[in-house]
Amino acid sequence: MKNTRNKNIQGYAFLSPFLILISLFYIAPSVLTIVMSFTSLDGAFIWEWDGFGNYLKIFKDPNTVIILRNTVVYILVTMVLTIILDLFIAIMTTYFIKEEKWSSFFKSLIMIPMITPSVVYSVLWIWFLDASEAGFINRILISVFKGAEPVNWIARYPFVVIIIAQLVVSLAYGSIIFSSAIKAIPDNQFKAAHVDGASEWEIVKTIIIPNISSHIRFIAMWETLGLMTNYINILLLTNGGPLNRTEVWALSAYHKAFVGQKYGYGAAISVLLILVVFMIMLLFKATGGIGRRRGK
Amino acid sequence: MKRILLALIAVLAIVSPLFANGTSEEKAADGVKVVTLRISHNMDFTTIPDAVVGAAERLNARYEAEGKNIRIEFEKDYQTIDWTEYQNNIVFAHKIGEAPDFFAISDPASLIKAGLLLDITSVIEKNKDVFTMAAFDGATVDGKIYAYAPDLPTRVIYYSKDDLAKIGWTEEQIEALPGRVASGEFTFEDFIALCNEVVAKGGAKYGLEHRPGKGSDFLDIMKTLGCEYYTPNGDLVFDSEGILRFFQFTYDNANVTKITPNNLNQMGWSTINLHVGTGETFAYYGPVYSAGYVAGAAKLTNAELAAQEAFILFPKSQYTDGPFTVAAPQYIGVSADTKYPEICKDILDELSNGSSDLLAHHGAKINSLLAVKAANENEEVLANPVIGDITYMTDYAVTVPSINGLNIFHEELFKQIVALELGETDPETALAALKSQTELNIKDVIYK
Amino acid sequence: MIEIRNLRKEFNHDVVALDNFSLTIEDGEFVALLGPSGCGKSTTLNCLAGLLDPTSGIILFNGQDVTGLEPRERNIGMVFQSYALYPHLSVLDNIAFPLKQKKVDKETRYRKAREVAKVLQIEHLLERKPHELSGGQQQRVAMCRAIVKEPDVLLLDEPMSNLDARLKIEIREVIKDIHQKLGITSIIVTHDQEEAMALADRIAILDCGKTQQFDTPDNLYEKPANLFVANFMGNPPMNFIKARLEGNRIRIMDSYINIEMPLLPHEDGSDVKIGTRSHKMPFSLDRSEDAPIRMEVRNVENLGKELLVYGSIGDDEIRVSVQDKSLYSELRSRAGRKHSCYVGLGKSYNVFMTSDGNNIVDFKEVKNA
Repeated sequence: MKNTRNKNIQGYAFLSPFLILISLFYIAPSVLTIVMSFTSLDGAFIWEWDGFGNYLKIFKDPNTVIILRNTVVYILVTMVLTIILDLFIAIMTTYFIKEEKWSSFFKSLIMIPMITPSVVYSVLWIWFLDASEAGFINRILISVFKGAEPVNWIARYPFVVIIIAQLVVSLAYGSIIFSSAIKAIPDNQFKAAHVDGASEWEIVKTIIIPNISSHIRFIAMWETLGLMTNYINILLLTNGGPLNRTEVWALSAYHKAFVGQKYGYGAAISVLLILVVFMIMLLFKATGGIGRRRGK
Repeated sequence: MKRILLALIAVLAIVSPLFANGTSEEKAADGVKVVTLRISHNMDFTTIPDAVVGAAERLNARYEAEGKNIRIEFEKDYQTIDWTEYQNNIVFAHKIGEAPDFFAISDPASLIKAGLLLDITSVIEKNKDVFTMAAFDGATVDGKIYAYAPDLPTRVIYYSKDDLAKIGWTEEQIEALPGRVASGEFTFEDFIALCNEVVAKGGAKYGLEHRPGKGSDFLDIMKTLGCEYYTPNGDLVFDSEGILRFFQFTYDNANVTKITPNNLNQMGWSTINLHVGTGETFAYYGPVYSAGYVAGAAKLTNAELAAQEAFILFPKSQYTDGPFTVAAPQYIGVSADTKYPEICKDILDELSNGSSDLLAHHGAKINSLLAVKAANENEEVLANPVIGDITYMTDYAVTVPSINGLNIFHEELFKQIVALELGETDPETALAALKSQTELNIKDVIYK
Repeated sequence: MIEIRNLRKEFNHDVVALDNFSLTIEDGEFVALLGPSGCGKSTTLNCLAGLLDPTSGIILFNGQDVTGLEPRERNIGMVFQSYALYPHLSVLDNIAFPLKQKKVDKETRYRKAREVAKVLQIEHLLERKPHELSGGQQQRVAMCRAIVKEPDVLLLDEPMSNLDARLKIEIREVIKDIHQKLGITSIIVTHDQEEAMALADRIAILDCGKTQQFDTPDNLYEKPANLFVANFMGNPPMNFIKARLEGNRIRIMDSYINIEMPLLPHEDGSDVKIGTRSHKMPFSLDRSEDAPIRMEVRNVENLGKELLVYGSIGDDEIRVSVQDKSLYSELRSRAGRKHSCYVGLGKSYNVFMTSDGNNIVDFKEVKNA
């Protein structure tokens, strides 16, 4: 009896630094943020209770609809494209290219954007897409189409730019997970399909994709959550502009809080975002979660 | 258990001296009380805090002569970070009781509202003949003055004299232009027409440029177009007609007459400074101290720049009574929590009188006039080729009070300007959007 | 008719799985490829299927060279050890899949699938998914899928390895049944000699990429060509006793036995191994004319239908079946005391040269034992 109690106390003692860290850096700020969303905290840092004032503001602001639409389109398009490209890369490097050294080479290549620091990565894109005729893309454009005007890519096609920039960064994670999953498919299924006369495309449809369907769902959820909360590339590339064309929900929380100095308002926007994240996670769990493969 | 406690106490004993800081006083060897003050500053123009420190040195000499046993010493903390962050840091520092005694200010209104600035009305009133008193309007609330105006930088319109020469103007005509603007003869409409003419005749690639970020410069054009955006009380005024005129002006310049490049706001400061410095753009509006950056970008000395570039007031227009320039001092404040309010005020007193040459040095260095009238007569200032010629502008100087919610208004206004210039929105839509954001986010706005 | 000529398959790192392998399989024949792990039987099957390209050699189906053809062009059906069913398709779709790839219309292919499912008695499972079936049911589905397109050749790659003993027998019956009904040329790869003996018309025993013997099960059992084959076939395994041929007598330790079996020409004084089946060896507690060789008794098991006596002759361990169960207790006590009993070579045994392992019994001269 005493032994068990001692062991329990020891256990908690060992865990306590970790528990303290979690409380300090996760739980406490979360609670603070929720409280903050009900105040009108601003640059003067005076906590004044405001009730649901901030939330009302969100609903009254005509920009909210635009931001919401931007966010949904951005997430859907990027997530779908990410999965399609991830699958393509994984199938190419694992199924079609059998030589290890080439598939490793391609995989290393797509990892580079992912491990590049966001600021460096975004600055590279800005340099790439510079609006003057010295810009890299513009120079190619002018040399191919003689007499073309240099295009202000980031200002003219901001949405396309942020989607492509985010895509390139996201490719590595999903590709590598799908690649491992494909490697785990029993070889005999492929053999059976070959004997049955299936074409390569049929094999992709009938064997590869169904076998890794739980992985696909996982990556879909993972990417969605990431896209909802990670706004750093958009901040650095277009800063939500021009006007509100590429303003997404998480970025607007940042803008309201740290640029407009309206911390209470920004907190309210963040709280709503977290609610949506919760709902998506519940949805994911309800439709089977990470899923266990049933049967052999 | 005991051992652990002892160890903890030992660690605390070693670590605690690290937490000792802040304003302190010690008795120096010869019995003189040393008062250490902290002065914080942000970005360029370190000549301002240097002037304060310099004034304190002179004050020390006076104290010694008077037999007062006090010596002031300064700890300097000059940073170069984002202004919003800097101001937040000042607020945080106050909250933990570690506020510097002197610090730079970007938004006086919110600091006054938060009660962080010392009321220095007494020392300013005492010296009111020394100052252009209007300089303190931006830091005055309910008749009390909360910040010190070391300078009086005016916002002007720049234009390239060389470009005019290129399209055939004579030297006489070029030199006469500022005077014609000041007299009200040459109007704003005339000036915009001139910008169009210079571009059409090939004198410059662009006609008119501005800062690529939010700021007060745009308010000057709005004011020229007859839009009053504030009351003397510091309330923000939303003049729909006036703002619509400004938006139309902005839109047309970029998309119709094309004297403003429509991707101006994606260009960046160095590109724009270069345009101005080389005359690639004919005209530019902004603070006169930007001339230093322009010269730097074009690799010219101040004298060379002054030779090719001229500065004028914002001309009279069909909507206004006369030309003007808005003066916007770069206020410094004394913390309301300072332990030595009297000493700080003494330093300001010294700075405004005997040490006004330090202010003159600052003005000459950054190309700005001063709030202390005597400093504007200083030979350093007169010798500065850029401001030497524009000392007359003080007669037309207008100061703007501290306006409630202005920084949010700047933010939203600039967003619309960017979109208008890119052609992504039209003036009516921009007006409606600006209005709804203002209604949502700024309290106590007067709508006209 | 399937002809495999001089097949050679090398893998990376100089691994030679098949070396100059040749085999001819008649139409409708059921052939088993039998051997230990790594002997090359799966490699042969995969080459036949077209899933592996041989390094050299050719394969002919009815005189046509199929060596370069893709699996789908060879009209084969294949059943795998792990069933390899498509996990997200229903049983019906799984079976119909090969026909779908041949662009057969939906009605026709579902009809054929149902017909085949009836043959294998799984028509009540057609709507289920593979993970809802037992191992035996999954294997039946796999077989349906293999035969639904009426292939010329049926290849089975250790199909029963994943099943328990009872199911093995059940599926064995199914396979035999199919083969009899459809008459398809079938080739099965297995390491289980009982299975091979039960199913195949002829068995090819492979070792190290080479054929050891290709013959009917009975012949392999009664007339093994060498030590390897003899050791492989039969349960319990054949007994091997070291001996020496001296003149017309066999000398085992101190005993001399007249040679009963006709032998091929050989050198006198050769070292040999005598191979005997446990139930063909005469046994007696004491020395007798039929059972002259002394065997030290180590253990005895009562198997119900007979006794199995474990012992050794010299260094060689042997097992002898004894029908008289009353000897049990006596044998137990002798085992405990490490006493001996006596055995004989019987009327039918094999003589293997120690040098090359070949059986030098001249079976053409042997009268039926």
